[in-house]
Amino acid sequence: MVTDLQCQPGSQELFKALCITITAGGMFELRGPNGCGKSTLLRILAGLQQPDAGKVTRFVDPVGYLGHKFGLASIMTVQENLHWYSTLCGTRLDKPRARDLLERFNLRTTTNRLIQELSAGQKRRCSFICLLIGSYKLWLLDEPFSSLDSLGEELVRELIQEHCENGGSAVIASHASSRMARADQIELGID
Amino acid sequence: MRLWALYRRELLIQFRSGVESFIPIAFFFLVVGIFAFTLRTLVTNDSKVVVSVVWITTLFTSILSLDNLFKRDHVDGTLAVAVLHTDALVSIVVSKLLAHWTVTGIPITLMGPAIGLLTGMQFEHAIMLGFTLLICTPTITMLGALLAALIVGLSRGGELLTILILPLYIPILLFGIGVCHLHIESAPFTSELLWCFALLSGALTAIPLALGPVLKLSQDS
Repeated sequence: MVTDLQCQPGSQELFKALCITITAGGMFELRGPNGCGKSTLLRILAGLQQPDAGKVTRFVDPVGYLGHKFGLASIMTVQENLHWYSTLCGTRLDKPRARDLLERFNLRTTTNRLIQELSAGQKRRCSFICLLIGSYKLWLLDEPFSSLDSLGEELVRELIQEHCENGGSAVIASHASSRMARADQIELGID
Repeated sequence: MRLWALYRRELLIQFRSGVESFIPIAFFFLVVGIFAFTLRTLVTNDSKVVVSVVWITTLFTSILSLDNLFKRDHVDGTLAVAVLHTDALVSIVVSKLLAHWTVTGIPITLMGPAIGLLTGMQFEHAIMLGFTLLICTPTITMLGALLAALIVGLSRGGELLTILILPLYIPILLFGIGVCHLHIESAPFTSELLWCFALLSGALTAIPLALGPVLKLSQDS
């Protein structure tokens, strides 16, 4: 739940008196031009940044945050990164589940490759597998479709839809339409 | 179990980083070697000089290695992920500190006395040098990590780290060198040694807990 949120880095006011309530199954899409504060709002929601005023109350912890960076250790393999996430979240990642996830994201052949050897799209897919491993209730996704091909985009859309149908919630920041059918739109950068 | 898994991961990262991880140790070996062998010809009772050189180089080696402690994770975004998992954060931080100490602290603890012996230091003095390094290098790692966490988001953090951290290292340096010098002089050194233990226990108690909130704070930039 976000109450009276305000963020003003320097002289530019990004948003003021912003109130949002994200309930289970809710899907929000943050829209607006570059520099309007979409990423900042996501970071505030995740707890990585403090707002200038207002309050964020989180009833779920931790949240799944996918920012501009992939959140993957570049000199570890895909498999090692997945295991790191499962250790972090205290979830069990057995071989069949890891194999199924990698299969779904078309990363089966990259299991033992270092992250730094993968393409940006493959890294993005791998980040989504990590989100799934974490079993987070709330997903905060900053430009989740960037670097993905059309198949990847469709897969991610499907995934977000599935997540919200299963009682999870998602906030997606995107400068272009994410084409998520049931997402509530929040326009930033408009007085 | 979680700590062991995280520690193994950190060690793997250190070893995969290759040269980057081992430059500080090479630096230590070269600097101590150069100092010890050149000063030996000038000073009659050189055990104290070798002890001081080993200690001062230990501090510089630590600074050289600490800059990278959180930077790699900050760059690839895993640090942001880690700070969001508050329940795992202490384990992550402890595993990082342990891995850093394994890669820099332990080699220094072994190499310092070995170089001392090579330069003609008596065996028991070399053992005491090794013992002080053993109990003080974890304190050096932890104190440095705290500052490294604070400046992780800054672009020229390395230079700032050097300036900020050296004054904080002075007490460790004084007590560490003090113990060795008093031991060489056959004078009582219990009080200095207890100070070394006090600094270690203080750091062990406070710093792993403090590092989590500091890392979270450093993300807010």
